[in-house]
Amino acid sequence: MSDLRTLLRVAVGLAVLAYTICPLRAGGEADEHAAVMFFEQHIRPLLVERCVKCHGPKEQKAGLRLDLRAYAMAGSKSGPVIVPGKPEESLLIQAVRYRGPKMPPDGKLPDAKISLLEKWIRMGAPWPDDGSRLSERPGARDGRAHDAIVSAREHWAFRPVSRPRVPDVFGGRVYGPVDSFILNRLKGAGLKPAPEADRRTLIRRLYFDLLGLPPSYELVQEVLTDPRPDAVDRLVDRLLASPHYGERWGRHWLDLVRFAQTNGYERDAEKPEAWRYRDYVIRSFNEDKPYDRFVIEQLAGDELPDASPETIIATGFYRLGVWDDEPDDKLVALAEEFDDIVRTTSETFLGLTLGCARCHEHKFDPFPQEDYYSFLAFFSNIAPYGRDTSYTHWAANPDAIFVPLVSSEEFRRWRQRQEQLRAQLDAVTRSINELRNRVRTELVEERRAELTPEERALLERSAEQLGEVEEARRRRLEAKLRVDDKAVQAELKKRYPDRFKELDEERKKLEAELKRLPFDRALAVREREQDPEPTYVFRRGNPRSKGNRVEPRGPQVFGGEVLTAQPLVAETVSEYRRILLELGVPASSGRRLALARWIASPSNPLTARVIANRVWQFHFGKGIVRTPGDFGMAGLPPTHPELLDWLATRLVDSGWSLKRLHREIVLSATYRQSSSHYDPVAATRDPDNSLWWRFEARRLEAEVIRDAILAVAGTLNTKMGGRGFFPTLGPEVLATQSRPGAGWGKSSPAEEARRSVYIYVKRTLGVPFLELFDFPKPERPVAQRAITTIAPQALTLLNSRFVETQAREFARFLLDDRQYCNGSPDRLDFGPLVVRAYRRALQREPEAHELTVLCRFLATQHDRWRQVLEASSGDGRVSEFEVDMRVAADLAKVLFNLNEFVYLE
Amino acid sequence: MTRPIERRRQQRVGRCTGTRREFLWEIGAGFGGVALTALLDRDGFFNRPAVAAELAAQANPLAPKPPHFPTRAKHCIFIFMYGGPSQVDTWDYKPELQKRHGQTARIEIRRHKFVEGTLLGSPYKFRRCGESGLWCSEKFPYIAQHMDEICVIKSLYTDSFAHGSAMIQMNTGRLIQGAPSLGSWITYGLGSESDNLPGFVVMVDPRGGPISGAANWSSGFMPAAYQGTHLREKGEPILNLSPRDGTTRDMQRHMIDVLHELNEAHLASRPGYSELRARIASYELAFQLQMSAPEVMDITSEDRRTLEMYGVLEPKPSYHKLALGPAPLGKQLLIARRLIERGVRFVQIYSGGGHQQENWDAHNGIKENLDIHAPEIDKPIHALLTDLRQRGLLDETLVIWGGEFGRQPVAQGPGRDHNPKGFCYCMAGGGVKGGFSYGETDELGHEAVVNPRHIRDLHATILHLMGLDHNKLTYFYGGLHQKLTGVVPASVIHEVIA
Repeated sequence: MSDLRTLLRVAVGLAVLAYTICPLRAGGEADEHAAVMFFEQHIRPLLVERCVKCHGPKEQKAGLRLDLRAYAMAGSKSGPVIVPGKPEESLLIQAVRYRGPKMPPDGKLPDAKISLLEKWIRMGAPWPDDGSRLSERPGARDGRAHDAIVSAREHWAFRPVSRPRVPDVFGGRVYGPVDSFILNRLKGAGLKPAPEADRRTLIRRLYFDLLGLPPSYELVQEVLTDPRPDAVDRLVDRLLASPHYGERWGRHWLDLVRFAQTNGYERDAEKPEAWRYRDYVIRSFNEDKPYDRFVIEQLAGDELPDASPETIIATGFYRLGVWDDEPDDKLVALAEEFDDIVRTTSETFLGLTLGCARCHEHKFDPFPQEDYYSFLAFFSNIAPYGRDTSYTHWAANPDAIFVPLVSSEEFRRWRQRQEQLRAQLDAVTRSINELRNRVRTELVEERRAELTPEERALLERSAEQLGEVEEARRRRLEAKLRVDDKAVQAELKKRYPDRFKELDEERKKLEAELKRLPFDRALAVREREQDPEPTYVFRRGNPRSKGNRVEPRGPQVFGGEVLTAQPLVAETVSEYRRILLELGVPASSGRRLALARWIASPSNPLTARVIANRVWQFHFGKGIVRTPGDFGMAGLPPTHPELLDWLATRLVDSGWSLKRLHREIVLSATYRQSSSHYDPVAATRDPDNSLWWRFEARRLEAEVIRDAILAVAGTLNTKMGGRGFFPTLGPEVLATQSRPGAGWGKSSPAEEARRSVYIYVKRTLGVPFLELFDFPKPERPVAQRAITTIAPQALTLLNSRFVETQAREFARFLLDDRQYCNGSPDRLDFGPLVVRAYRRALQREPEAHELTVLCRFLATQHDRWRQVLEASSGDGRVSEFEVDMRVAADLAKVLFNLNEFVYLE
Repeated sequence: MTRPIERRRQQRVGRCTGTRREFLWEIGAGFGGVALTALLDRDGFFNRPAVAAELAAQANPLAPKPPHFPTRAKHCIFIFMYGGPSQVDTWDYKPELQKRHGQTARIEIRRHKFVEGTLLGSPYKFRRCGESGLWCSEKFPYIAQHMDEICVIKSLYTDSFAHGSAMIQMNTGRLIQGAPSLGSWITYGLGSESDNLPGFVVMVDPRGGPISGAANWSSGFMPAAYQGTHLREKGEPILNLSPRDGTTRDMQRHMIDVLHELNEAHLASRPGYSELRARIASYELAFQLQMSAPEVMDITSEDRRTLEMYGVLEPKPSYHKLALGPAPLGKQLLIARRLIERGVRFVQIYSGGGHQQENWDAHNGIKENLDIHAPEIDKPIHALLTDLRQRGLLDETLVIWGGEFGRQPVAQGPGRDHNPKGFCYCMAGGGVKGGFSYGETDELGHEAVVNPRHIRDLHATILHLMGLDHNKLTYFYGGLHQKLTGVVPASVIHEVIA
């Protein structure tokens, strides 16, 4: 009965919803927004303050609830209370006017408030249908009933992904379904999309977006002159096949998983092998590993039947967090370690802030505290990062965080070798024992020789023949002849020193080799050997205050069924996993695999939406959901819900291929719009460009700026992988460390010219160039980087060692073409120099005014540099080449600092 | 639906009214510069009123903002006595401890670990000072003259026995690395009044930085604009401030002009991108910084009496190889005064660096440690308070000194081990009640027992003195309205406010 009523309510609510949204849509985004603002400013607070106490989750007097749109619209026992558009017919207005039921009973509302309510209903009673309850708003919390969780299932992100129909759009550039969705909304708002960006800009955009590197001038020319209609498609395919693609897009992922190579805090020790995880991510993107598989490998690569070294490296995901090796309280620190895993997993893969429910129920989302601990239960058998070394400290535990990487062949050879070694060791041990026996015999003989004949005779007599006194004497004699091991050992070293040393060293060597695993290792997850212990809720997050026992399961809003652990089955297990068992890596609980499969399931409402949104965000600068790390109720709803669902569906249908999704997006007319287009009407109606009436230019990320400088200077070293490199940091930067220079290595100039994704990430020592350009702090998942414009960035691009060095390299390239020979008096021709520089840095010809400005500038700098160098040289003589180098380097610096250089357009 | 700021910017494009300074502010490019609103859909976010404030702030992160309520303090100078100075040898006099010197007591020496320790009386005499009669150790003869201006909070406690997490907690409110520091919160809340200097400045000890280095002044999950800027007294005050390759100031000016011209032409064909304009402005500010930063560091314009008062001219003493004497901190505090005079909001200076006896971490000898470090701060703090008072700045400047925790009343050899259960902080100026002692530790100085206050209350109090309500100063991150004081309720120590 009550189920039926709920159903009816929801049905009515939905009907009303459809009714109210339509008139709003017609008025366009702006009106809708204004209406929602009106509700948020005036109506919601009023309902919360005066109505919800009796008509809310705790009490529903007259069967009326006003804390959730669907309930409010469903009305009370007496029927609907809100008739959108018709205040005079709304019971709510009659009640607050004290005509009929007098509400609120404790005092009539002021007339101004009543007018607001009337106005609101006349507007169509706009109420954003985000499924949230009034009481979840800050400042108005109250208890949470189970039905709140049920009703929250209506929240857009918790509903199953729909398969939206691609809208029919007539007229306009439609290259694919993406454009239909975008254009449909633009037309609805009376706006037009921007014209297509010019081809050069588009090529640059694709290069920076997909590879994080600038194209070469020659390549741009090649594409520009390619007459084939699918020239851009071909280019996109080529870029997606480039290994640099993984370096670019892998870096986006590394932001999300708080990737760093050290632990943080006082010692900030290295996380050995963390770089393998980074390389794994890059490889995975390059291979276009299906996203569902990518998720499963990171969460449960060790529990997969086909576990391989690659999937083990993937589980390094768990080990990347901040870790304090000298915690105040180890029990609390352990809880923090698992909290990091819960937060990172829920935010990264699901766009949920489950971490907020650690100490109490979630403030905004329908997650009671048990949901947090039930989720934690998936991980609770993970062996912690550290092991005790003293009461106050612990050290990274190699038996927890490392897993051998070994091929079957290596393992077979190693086992053979082990047998060999064991045989050798047996032989050596035998030799040592023989030697020992020899010494023992010698010693006994010698001592016996010292005995008197009478004593010897005494020893040979049988016990029955002896009296008590003689017996005692005989026992003493026997004791004297007994040679203990210690004595043997001591004599052994004296009598056969060389032979013993030889054998002993051989033994030690063999034993050491037997113990050693001669394999590479991964920073990875391992579980404790025993069966999982039960997981409990920690009251108020305090690990010393255990509450109810919980089972591993997903949040209740998704049904919350217990997910059955999927332990390895002996018959199906991969050879590698079997090898690991032999090498002492215990089998695990299988809980994480159950979780991973639940997350990576096409029916999970969040996973595909969250990653599709991220892909869109990294292409366009902003997501369809503008809060990419929070798909919950405190987050923003999608600007284009159908498009998001279409992209998510498309992703799943394509076998979770991210590269297919990239193609779908970057080949759209939407993506190919000009960024410099300006439409005053659109700028007024949609100042934030949430309808995508043009492509939004944006500042390039720190790494891309640095890599672009290297590429243009011609010094970029494209070597991939490995531990990474250490850019030179000046003493002024190292001075902030308690041990200046500690934990920072030195790399060769060639290494330093590698791509930024390979810069060693140390938690307590950021590389200023990266930090200044908003490289995120690697302590927690970062879904969207800040983009700031600050004066120190200008100083860095003008004066840093890095820029000065690269400007000089660029200068060398610029002058090289002139086949400059030392001593030749020909004067530097600035025009061609500028042309060459523009082609190299921006892949275009300089415009006339640019040529004029720069030639004038270079001429002046030429004279000044000559003066400066003359003044600083001992004899007033300067090398003409050096003057030219300085001038060309200044030109390089100007180019590195242009807005055009650091913006993706 | 155009946002007001955006509309104003659009109107201003191409106009040339007002001074250059006004122009720079108009487009929102202070030192901290412009965090792009492209970050998030602000209009959409206004639906969530609590989030709107943060996002409005991001338009110009360091624009001055009014405090939550009227207040005296506009600036804060925080002298971080890194390593954990001993309360019972400085300002928390414990006659009972002196009396029971050499006896044993059962003490929690690390979390949940108790030992029978030998009580160690302070090697120093204490005396009552000024009209207030506040106690001060004889190791601080200069600071002793100011006790009537100083408020000593003697009943603080914190959560960690270990430097690493205790440092992070004293600076960020959390034991876990990754949250914004106090200076970041204050500059986020109030902005900066200086447009050509950083709003939040950090100076470190010549012997080295504190452990965990820059993590101590990190902006955590806030934009880097709120991060502390490390200012050096020697060489280049700010990283990459000047060219290294011989470029003269004229030449750099010329380059910036050329950039300006080219970038303006680029912008002309790209209307509606205020961030491109902000970037042009940032080069102007960078150029100004090349003058303003060395100027603020240059103390030669200060008169000799001032330099002497701060101890800047005193040579490195010879009695201990680690001792520096008052000169380094004196110079830093003098610079701190110059910084706040120029509108800088928050200056944090680390007294002590590196490890063990190089800072206040007196495991290896309490007397040796204080012999090294007490004279390093004594005269400089005295000079700072005197100087600020003389210039009429003391009332608007909150001066704080203290460490990440205190030390044990029991001996560890000749030294003392860490103690987070009871320790003291000193505050002066900025609306603090001078000559006032708040709270007490037990008779041995081990644990706060009268009015015990967690350091989150100290943070709440500092924010309050700066005109900020710790419950209102929030930043939305990770699904939560984050606060400096965290989720456990904190309260202002109203008693210490004049």
